[in-house]
Amino acid sequence: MKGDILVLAEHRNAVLDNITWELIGKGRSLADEWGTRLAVLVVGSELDAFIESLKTSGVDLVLPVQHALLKDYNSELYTTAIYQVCKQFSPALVLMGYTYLGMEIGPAAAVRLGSTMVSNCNELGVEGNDLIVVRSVFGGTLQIKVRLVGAQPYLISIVKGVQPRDNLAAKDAAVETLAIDFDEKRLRSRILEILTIDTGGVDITKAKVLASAGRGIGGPDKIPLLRELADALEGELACSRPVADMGWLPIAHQVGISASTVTPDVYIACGISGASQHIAAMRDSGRIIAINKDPNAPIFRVANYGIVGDLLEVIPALIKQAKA
Amino acid sequence: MNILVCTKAVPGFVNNPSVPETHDRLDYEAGSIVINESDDYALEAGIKLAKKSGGKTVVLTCGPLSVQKILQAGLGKDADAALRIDADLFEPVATARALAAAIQKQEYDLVITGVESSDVMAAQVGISIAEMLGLPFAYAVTEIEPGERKKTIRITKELGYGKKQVEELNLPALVCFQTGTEPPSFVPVRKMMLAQRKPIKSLTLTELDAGGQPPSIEIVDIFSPKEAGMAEIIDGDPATQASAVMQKIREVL
Repeated sequence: MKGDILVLAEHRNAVLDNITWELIGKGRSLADEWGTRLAVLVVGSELDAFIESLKTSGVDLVLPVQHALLKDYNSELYTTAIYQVCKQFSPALVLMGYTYLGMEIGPAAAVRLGSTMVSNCNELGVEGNDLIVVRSVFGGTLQIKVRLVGAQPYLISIVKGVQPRDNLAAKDAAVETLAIDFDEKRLRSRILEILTIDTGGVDITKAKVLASAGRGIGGPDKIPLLRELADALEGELACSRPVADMGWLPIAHQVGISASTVTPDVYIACGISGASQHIAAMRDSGRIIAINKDPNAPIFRVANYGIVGDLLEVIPALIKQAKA
Repeated sequence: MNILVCTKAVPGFVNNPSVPETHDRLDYEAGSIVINESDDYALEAGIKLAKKSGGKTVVLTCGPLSVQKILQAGLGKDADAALRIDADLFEPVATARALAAAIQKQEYDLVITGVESSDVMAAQVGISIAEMLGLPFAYAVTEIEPGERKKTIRITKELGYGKKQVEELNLPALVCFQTGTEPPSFVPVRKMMLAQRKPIKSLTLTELDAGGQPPSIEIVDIFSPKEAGMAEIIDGDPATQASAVMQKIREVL
């Protein structure tokens, strides 16, 4: 296969998300190999600043879809935008993040285009004439290699943080505004309100050390032990999604793409298996220590140091050392 | 409100995984079969909402006879009926096509699925069904209630990064339900035994006219993730391990 490549940019709070640069980097190397164009699609209501930075990001073409209706994120309008841009630009390959955005509109766009989508990919490459991806299965304990054989364009969603974010040689990309018909009278969903999590003053994003609890700690009665470890290292208490879901800790402590992304100097993952949504939000930490009884837990693949063992023996020993 | 809940049986753990010569699926020995976690939350939310609004819940799955027990658990939790599509599919779009065909034969106001299965991990089936049936949709939903206007629901969904969005969707609609703070209930043993005697309807892909599409992917290989980047494992007794780890921590603080 060979053809033009389209990257779907992501932004929030007036900043382009890192996944955008990761996708552009991957797209650039494939487009260079194929001798084809790399375009980036950016959707929103005020795009001027994004267009300026995307123009020199290494892409050949910036395709802004700008409309007052797009002030807040509406999945119906986004799906329409990506569908119509694909129809007009005719890419062979569309790259997006395995993020809330990619999970919500990727499959809808693929079905509408009658094309093939493979999600949750860690690697993407070409073998012979085929597009090949590597993706996780079974909770991330195994991976599969998949060859795409269905209808194009191929829609691929890539896990955030697994592709390098290289600085690419700047090109003076062209900007082409495409006309999109949103048919707003036929909208079937309305945004009523946008809510922000009440953190109650806790800010785990500022901590230098995070002692983070996963389901593997066994129960809420073990939280004080983790708290003691955090305190001994002058750090803060964090947790994975199941721990917050089960009410063992408030959501303000939750690390994951649904809650907070953290980059402390030291991240100590205690009984956290390492779901991709968790790893994506802590993998850029300075030093990652994982303690887990399962040697196959995916967390050991991003950790710098690991202890395979019983938390209830290891953590008290750590607290003792930290206080020494 | 009549509600359809799509669920999936997933292995608790797998042994001896391999790719068969057909390259369209994975073979493995399943350690145990359980309902996928977010589907369990979806089922709970669906049954609750149907009861509250005076409607019925039908629980669906796609899989061989061996996965039927998750439907029985659904009946034990007070779903009114269960339906199994007798097909063992790997590709998300094929599963979505089968479920969409079955859903089309039902009377419903709302379809609820989980966000992602723990085995295939694609997060594609729910939204694909919605688009195949032309329904409005929302992903990573944590709350559903009847809307203020007739024939609508009000949902809260995660946007990520600590933000949520409240939306009103016209019915019929489809939502992908996220795991949440309200844990799924357990079924009393007696109720479970009664549920096991209830009939479960099954349909084949031929009956649904949903088979025969060419595959869009081929599975080439299955393997353990590469060792590169693996943590340096610290051995020894807990005191030795703790002392070594603390040294690594102090190096960067």
